Amino acid sequence: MNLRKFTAGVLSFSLAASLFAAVPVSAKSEAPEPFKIGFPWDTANTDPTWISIYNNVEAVVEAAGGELINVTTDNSADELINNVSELISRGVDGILLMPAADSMLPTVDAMCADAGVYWGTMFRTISDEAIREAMYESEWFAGGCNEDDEACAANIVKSMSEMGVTDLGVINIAKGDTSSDLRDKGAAQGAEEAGVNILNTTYDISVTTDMTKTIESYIAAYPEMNGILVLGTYCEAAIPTIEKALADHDKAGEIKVGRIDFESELGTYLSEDTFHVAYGGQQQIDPLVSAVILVNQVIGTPLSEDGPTNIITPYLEMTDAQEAEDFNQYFLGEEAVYNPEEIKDTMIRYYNEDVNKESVEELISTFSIADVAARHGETK
Amino acid sequence: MENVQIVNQKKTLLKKEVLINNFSFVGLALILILFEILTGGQLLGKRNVMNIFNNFFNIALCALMYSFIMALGELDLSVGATVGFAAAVAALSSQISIWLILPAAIFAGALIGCLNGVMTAYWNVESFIGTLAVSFIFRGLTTYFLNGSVGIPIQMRVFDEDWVKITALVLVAVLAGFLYNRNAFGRRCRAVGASHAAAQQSGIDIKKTRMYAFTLVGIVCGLVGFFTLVRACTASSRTGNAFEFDVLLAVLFGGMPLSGGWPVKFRAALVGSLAMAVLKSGMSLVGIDGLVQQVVQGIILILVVAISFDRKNAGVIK
Amino acid sequence: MDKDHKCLFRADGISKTFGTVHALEKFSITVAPGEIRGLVGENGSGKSTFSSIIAGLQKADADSGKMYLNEEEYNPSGTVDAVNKGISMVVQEQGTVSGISVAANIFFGREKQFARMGVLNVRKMNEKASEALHSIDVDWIRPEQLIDELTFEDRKLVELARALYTEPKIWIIDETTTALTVNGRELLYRLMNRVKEKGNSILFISHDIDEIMEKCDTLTVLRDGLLTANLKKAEFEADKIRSLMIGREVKGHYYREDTAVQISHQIVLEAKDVYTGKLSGVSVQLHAGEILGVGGLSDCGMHELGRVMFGLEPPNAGCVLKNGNERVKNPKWAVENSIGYVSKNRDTESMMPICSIKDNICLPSLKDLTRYGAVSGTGQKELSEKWSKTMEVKADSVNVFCNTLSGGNKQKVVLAKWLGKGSDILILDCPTRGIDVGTKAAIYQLIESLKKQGKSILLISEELQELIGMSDRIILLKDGTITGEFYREDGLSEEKLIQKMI
Repeated sequence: MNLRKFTAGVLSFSLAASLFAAVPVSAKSEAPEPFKIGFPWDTANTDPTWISIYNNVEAVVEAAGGELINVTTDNSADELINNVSELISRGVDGILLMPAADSMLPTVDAMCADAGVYWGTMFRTISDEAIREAMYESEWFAGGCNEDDEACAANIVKSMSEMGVTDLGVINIAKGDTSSDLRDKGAAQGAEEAGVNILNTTYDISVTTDMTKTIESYIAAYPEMNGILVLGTYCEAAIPTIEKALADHDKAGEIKVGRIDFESELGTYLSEDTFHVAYGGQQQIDPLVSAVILVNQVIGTPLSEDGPTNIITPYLEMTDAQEAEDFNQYFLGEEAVYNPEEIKDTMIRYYNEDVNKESVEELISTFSIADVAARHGETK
Repeated sequence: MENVQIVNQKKTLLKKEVLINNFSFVGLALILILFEILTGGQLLGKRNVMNIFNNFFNIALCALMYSFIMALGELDLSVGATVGFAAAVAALSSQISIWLILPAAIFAGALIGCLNGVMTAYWNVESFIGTLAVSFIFRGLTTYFLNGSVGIPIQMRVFDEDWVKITALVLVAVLAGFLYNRNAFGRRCRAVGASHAAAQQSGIDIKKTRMYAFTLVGIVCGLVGFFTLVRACTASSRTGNAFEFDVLLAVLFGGMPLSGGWPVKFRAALVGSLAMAVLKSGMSLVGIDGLVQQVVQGIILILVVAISFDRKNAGVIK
Repeated sequence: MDKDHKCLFRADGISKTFGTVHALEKFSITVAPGEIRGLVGENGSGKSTFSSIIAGLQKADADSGKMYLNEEEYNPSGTVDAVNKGISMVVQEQGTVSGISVAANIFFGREKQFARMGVLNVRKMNEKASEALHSIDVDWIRPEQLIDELTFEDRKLVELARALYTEPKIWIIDETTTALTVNGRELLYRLMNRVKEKGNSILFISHDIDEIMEKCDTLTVLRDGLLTANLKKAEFEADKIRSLMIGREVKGHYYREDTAVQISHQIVLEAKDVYTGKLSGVSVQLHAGEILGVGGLSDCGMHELGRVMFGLEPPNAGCVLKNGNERVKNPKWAVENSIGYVSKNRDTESMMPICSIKDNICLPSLKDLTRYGAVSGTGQKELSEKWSKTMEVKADSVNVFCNTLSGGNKQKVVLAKWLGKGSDILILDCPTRGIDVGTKAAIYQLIESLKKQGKSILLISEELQELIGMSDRIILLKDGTITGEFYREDGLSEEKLIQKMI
């Protein structure tokens, strides 16, 4: 580790050199020059999903031969800016973050450009046209992953409609959050197509007590409600909280519950038939692939040669307890959804010159719970 | 007997006084040395000093004026929400004209400060509860108005320059220092904190004094809101999140007792803010994760409150 | 031990040091059964140290002498132990515990006797408490009442009941009478006699020399931790006792000596038909250069009158006017318009204890000391040094914190504050409450000299002697209305005044 620190200085030179040499480097077995990736993440949050996000990013960086540097954050715009400043001063070569808003990105880009540090995003697309254009022209923006939130939300509403849901109570992250807005849009569209009535949408729930209150007021206000859909939330243990509230009012099982984003307790409720459908899994694959995009750029072997790489990661559908169990074991465990050898061989161009944006997209198109279970089952 | 006991008390009081007065300096020195060693010299490295300053800047700006509130023996738990609200109002006003950003931020801050003042001074609401309530209200309003987050033109980053910040900090420090140590206002605040009745019976308008102190803090929170906004060029519902605890921890660490009154020393604001900034940066550099950081801050809070409470006791005996 | 000189309690060479200072040096005392022993001395003379050692509040020095109770060695491990061995104390300041019932206060620390299997038998405790209260002739306090509902005096009575319930052999009364009204005092004196009749003894500590002379059988005088004299009743003489306490002849007079007074017609401060919670239709006029005494029982409304006239309490009806036409709006206005006020609650209202003498003295004068927005440092120093010197405040410097000063010195600081402000009208509420003789004399002299300078003083006091000794004119209040007015030149006496008070 210490050796890496000493050689950190040499790095900028090698980076600059690799930039000019925009020719793909042929496959190597030895490690590239040591590098550091900075990652602001809320390590005080013990939610298994949040921990797994960290683990997947770390797996990529370490598989490629780099070091991950974490600073703790609350993921707010102002704190993230401070995090970027701090990481830059600690000599990182790339920064991966989950943007709180489009409007903060020009600042991040300016800071990174000043310092000669690459940066990448995860989970979020850039909705603001002007900002997206500017960022995609920046030589320091590596790109990132996001999901087709709109399609996902539309699909889950249709799935629930097929289960017989006609009147839906909705919970979402926060207005202004790009994913949240897109999911709202998709849900509205799906509802229209499937003829589902969206009763109400509540935003910005961050503690379980608020979740309970929201569900209770939904039950009280809308006796006709037969479905609850969580489009997203930062509230910990969201589904157990909702299930508890429903059970307390004798509505468990009667009201269909769905959510985007997986969480660890889903299996229990799926087997009890009080929870019905979840779309997710992107929470592991997105940070993993986002880290892949950034790491490739930092090493000097970018996935696409014509500017930042944007990859849409797929949503997985979960409807039974076995899937939930596999998910808990292989997605929320200690290990990443791809093991280090897989990452090294199929996602890092430095080690395999056939790797590029298209190959990674193709690889993850077959990504599913069963796929991860099978691959990990084999290696065990 | 009283005289004798007094001599004795005076001695223990003196000893305690020496210990407490230097606690903050000793604490700061310890934190500096500890993290300088743990980080192998990175802490005070050229690049990290700017990070420490950025942390220090916001906390110190607010803590300087917070001295008056502490002298009064009151608390303001709404400073975080005030910063957030001021940033939000400023960001929204930028859609009319970018020249409105600074005045809007300060005006919004002053407004909340004023409200806190009116509540504490005229409606006899305990400041601890009142400002907590205000904090909830304005957090809610911020979320409602922002609808997520609002950006401002990136050109505004020119105000994030170091020289601008240093100038602002020096100006606020000089003003606050003058008001606190030289002007009658600082003495009035301390007198009210030392004894409401004695201050009132010596012709001090307690209500106005409280009112001004809370308004000053509000204004300076508006300023913090402005600088936070121009740094990220984004105002979100989480802007200024938990800032009230940073400031409270800083002034308590600096050695300001919760009981208020004369023992509240102005320099504590600066020493405490610096200690907090160094602590935060140091813990992060060493790679202590978020959970442990919270635990450490909590322990420090209890520790400093326990020490300052002791001092209050020393004064009440007899 | 000689059988003729029966001895209930004896102390032999008790010493107590705090740091390097001797609070009590080889102090010896012998108390006979059925004796009321007075204990007097200035603040800091060691009398309270001694009483707190007997009551188990403090430990004497390790190498100090021994104490004997009924010829058995007595060395209490704490107050509970002392009470069990037969020594109870009632203290000057409030000694009840807030938030619990009267009965719980009476049996505080001794609740165990009513507990069975960890459950407190409240009914039984209340019965016993009721007995305890009736035994001291107090039937208007109910044991189940919350202590906070009681007046200050009634709380003192609860303390008396608590102290006497155990039938103590030695009962220590430390400065309790200042907190009591005339009725309360009479009750206390009756109880003292009862204790005495049973053959038990009392240690009576008081600043009031007249009270001591009247009630005590023998008297022990202390000064600077040393025993100065033991006096028998026949030897009691006020001047002698004072000089023994102070260590020098009390020079000159104590109260004013002149009797003929000329009161100016100019009214500087007046209350016009004032109504508040406690006052109903009080009109008072204070003339220039006049000392106007206000007396009555403790809750007659005289303290409220002082507060109203300073603007601290806005009257419900009526008004307070300065110079006949300016309304006294609030304390701020009053201070700015040359009115000063000394509260009867010195430590909590008149001063900031954890704060230097200088800051206390300068507090009302901050505005006057401000130049170009800054409070002048030298100005503060000069002002505070000048007036603390004038008032002879005993302290090393004006930077000394006030909580380290004795009661008398604190009061001097409070008065220095108003002298420094140069106020022409002073409202003094019990200015000599709980203060030693030396300081009392100094305060009386100050009041007199202020009068000579043409200042007007409203002197509110619970001590009739003080009112008689100092006032040009006295008004008496009862239940919030004025019941009497007396002029100095007509000759004043306690009897005359008391008639109008009750």
